[in-house]
Amino acid sequence: MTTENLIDGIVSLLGNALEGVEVIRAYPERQIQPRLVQKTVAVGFDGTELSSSSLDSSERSGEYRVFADIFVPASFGSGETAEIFNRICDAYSAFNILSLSAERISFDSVLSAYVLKTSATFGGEYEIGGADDE
Amino acid sequence: MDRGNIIKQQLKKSGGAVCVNGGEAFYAVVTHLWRRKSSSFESIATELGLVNPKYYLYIGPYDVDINEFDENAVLTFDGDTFEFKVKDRVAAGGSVLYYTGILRKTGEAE
Repeated sequence: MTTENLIDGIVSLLGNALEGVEVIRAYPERQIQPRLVQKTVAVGFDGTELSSSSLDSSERSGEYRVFADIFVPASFGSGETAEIFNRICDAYSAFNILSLSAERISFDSVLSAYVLKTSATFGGEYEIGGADDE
Repeated sequence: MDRGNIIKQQLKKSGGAVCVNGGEAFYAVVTHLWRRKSSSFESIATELGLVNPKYYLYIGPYDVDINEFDENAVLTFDGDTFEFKVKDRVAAGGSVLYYTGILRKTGEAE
């Protein structure tokens, strides 16, 4: 597994699990309206701690972290962020998940939205790099 | 004619038709509030995409009390939508002359 297909996989997983929520890769090249209208989750790579399985192998095993930041338009209320986080936890439960974390709910005045920043740590085999060419 | 009415007539000449929450149209001046910081002209990169918040000055007639609109009020002008960030009443001699405020653009005409 590589960074690219890891994030694609999480976006796809959460997209299927979160009905009524737009799930995207974080920091897309697009202009958006100055006020958020749809509940959105932005997914991105948060970091990793890996070690070699063997000296002659390019594969690594260890932990990798993915963030899934939840944005809810102000009109829905802040409680909706926790509801979406619960559904994300349910979606992750099928995987080898090592830890989950969430920060305090904050308000983004640029987007007029409540924000809950969350992160999940998974364990497993991993290959550092971009798209998988195999 | 009192001063509030005189200003209202001037707004009719110099302003554009606006409405709040789809109600009856009236005339007001809505102009872009250019700020001095150059960063105000640049989009802000957020996790969801690039955002360019734009602020406008509102001047409206004495007989449309914008203080009565709640925080979810939507002002429509030229197909664009705005929300009120600041609302103020300008009065002199015991009578209201006009209302002023700061608007933030929330949506652009298709």
